[in-house]
Amino acid sequence: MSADLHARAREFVDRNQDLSPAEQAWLEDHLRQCAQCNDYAELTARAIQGLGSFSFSVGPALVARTQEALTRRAREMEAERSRRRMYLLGFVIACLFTAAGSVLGWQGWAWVAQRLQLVPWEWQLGFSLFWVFPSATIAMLLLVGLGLERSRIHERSLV
Amino acid sequence: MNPATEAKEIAEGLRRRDVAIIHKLVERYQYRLTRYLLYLTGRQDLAEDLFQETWLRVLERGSQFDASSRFEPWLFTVARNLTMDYFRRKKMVSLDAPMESGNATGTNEESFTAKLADHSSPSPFELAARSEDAARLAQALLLLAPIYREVLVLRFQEQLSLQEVGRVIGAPVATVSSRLRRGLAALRSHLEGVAHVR
Repeated sequence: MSADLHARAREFVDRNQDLSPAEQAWLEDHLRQCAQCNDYAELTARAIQGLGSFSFSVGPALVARTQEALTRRAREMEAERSRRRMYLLGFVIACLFTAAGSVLGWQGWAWVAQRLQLVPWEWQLGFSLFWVFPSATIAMLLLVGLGLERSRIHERSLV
Repeated sequence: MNPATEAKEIAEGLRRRDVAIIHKLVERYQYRLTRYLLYLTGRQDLAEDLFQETWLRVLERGSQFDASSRFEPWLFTVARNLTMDYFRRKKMVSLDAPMESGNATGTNEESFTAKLADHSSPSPFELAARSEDAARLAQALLLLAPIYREVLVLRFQEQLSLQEVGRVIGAPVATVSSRLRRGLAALRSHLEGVAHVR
């Protein structure tokens, strides 16, 4: 019998049941004819059976500790989600106020400026400084807060 | 329940971050996950830490579980990635580094095992051995590199197919087969009490 056949048989033995029906039939046939490969198969079966006779201990405390940690983490994640939602909502509201308020405010300031006989660049500068800039800054700060919250979560997931 | 329906339910629970479902999964997989981590790390304390970390990661990344596949391989992949990260952070030898060629008890592997094993107390394998053969195998497992131990447990204890084992360890089937052969060879040689079975 050629060495290739023995090598093939041993490879099949090591694969242990991950064989097609044809391969399984060939292996069984080979093992009936070859005592050496049969010994190899028996020793392999003993090794695999031996692995099955380990009985590792898992303390109930580990499961309880893990479940506790999971509950705590789930609560933290929920709180993080709410915070993110608040930042996002705040950002959207600040943007809306900036846009809608600017349209209304522009007309109001123009009316006041006309009454006070201000030149356009004066009231337009005032409008930008006291209306557009503060509301846009608040929107940006909320956006930065959202970004920081995300990066904090990402950093923690890397630890 | 059929496996596809079960996987779908698990995926749905993980997507919703349903803690009650994850608690049930922790109970159901406590033994199997601990066993896998023990094979991978060879240390009880580390395996327990990683067990907890694995479930926290499952909670955080559960939405990545694909319901079209089985849950177990995905769970073991998560556990394996965390173990690899742990060893990288500790600047220990990579699980994949030793023994791609050469003897299963080579120099890299020995230094790796030496770092993992606490020789002052019995290994988890020795403590778990319930038969004469298992006691012999415990010695072999302690000397065997983690990359060989993990394919042995995934294939013969978890009954994963070669393809599934490949997905868990991120290696082709040929590599899985080769590691299985080497792992089994080391076990056989300890059972026989000779250096190598040829």
